[in-house]
Amino acid sequence: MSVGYTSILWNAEKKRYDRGILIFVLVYLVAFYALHAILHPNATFETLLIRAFGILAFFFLHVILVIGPLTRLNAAFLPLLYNRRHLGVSMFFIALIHGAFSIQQFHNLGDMNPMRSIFLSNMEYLSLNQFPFQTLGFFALIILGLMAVSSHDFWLKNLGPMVWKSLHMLVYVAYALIILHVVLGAIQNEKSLTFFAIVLGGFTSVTLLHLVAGRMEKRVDEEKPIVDNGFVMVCRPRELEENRAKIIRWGERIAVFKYDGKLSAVSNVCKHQGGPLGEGKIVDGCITCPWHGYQYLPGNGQSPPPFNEKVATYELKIQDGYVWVNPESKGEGVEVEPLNLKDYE
Amino acid sequence: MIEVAVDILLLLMGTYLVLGFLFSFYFILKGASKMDEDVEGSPWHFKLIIWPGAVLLWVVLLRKLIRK
Repeated sequence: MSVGYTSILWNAEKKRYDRGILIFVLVYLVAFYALHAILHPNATFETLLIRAFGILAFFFLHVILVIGPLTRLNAAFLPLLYNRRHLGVSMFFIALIHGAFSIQQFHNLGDMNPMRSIFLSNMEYLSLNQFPFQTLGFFALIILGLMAVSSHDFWLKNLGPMVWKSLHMLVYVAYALIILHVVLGAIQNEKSLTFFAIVLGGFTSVTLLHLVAGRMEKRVDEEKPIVDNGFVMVCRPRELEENRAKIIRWGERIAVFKYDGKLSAVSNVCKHQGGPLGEGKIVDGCITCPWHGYQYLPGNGQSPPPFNEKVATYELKIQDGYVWVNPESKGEGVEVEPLNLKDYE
Repeated sequence: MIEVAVDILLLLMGTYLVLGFLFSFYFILKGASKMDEDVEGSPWHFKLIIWPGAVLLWVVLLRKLIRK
């Protein structure tokens, strides 16, 4: 979190995840080369390398884009979200290899400067079936590069959440450019309809998952909770799962956690990247953000020492067998006595 | 026309990167610690990790440092 910095925040889970990425990449490359050696024995090594890394980066980008909505729909995908940053940086390096070898293969063998060649070797900018699709990939690679170099927590803290988030939302611009890059490139070289069907399938999956997850979130936001004497009804205590939370919205989103026979309420918004704390769980006595593992003590909303992040806390009560929360925050990091469920049995 | 536009674009991008490259040395050696006290005493590999960001995001960083 924010006491001192190190280059890469690795823990046992992240190391396992990164090993998984590496093994997947290696198995994929071996399978790709083996398959192409049989199907396209005349293809050069460079051509195979460009194709292999291009397809892999495209696949990883789809995985990255669907992780967010998938976790909204099913908490089982949360470990993927927790480690998404490493997948994003890996994807950038894979795309960079694709881009670098493409420039070497297609733009560095003539008299023209390779950078000029990207834009000027094919000037059919008004043609759909001859469009210089590499230019789109070039701009997408710049966006992915900006995201990769700014992925460290240092940048989030020092660029500020607004700038950082805006920068990283550009992934959707990069995705649009890459879809066009792939489709317009394939129009020129690819005869098989299967390829276009796979691209369309990927695009449809990303779009549909975003729409479904967005709709689900909107429905939760539109639920009108019952209010009595300034307190908002949450649910019956037994409806809360141990070490998990229920999120309610009354102006801000509030996460009400149940743990060790007690209840506490904190802001649902993690101080790190605005992750949904209420979708995380309590690990080692701390509320743990599902996105990047930032932790807060449920009783006071403070990160455990030596860290210094704080989220707002809220007062709870039990009335008529229901849990109620006062939506007026007590302030960030303010101690609020947890509600002991034994007192109400 | 397109050729002129491309040459201007590449010139601007090249200039931006050269200035970013020069700025990044100051930022890594001094600016980052000035901007964020948690950088003080951080290992060299952390500075290596943020170095490309300093090259590419130098305009934002310079503005923040001047305001500070």
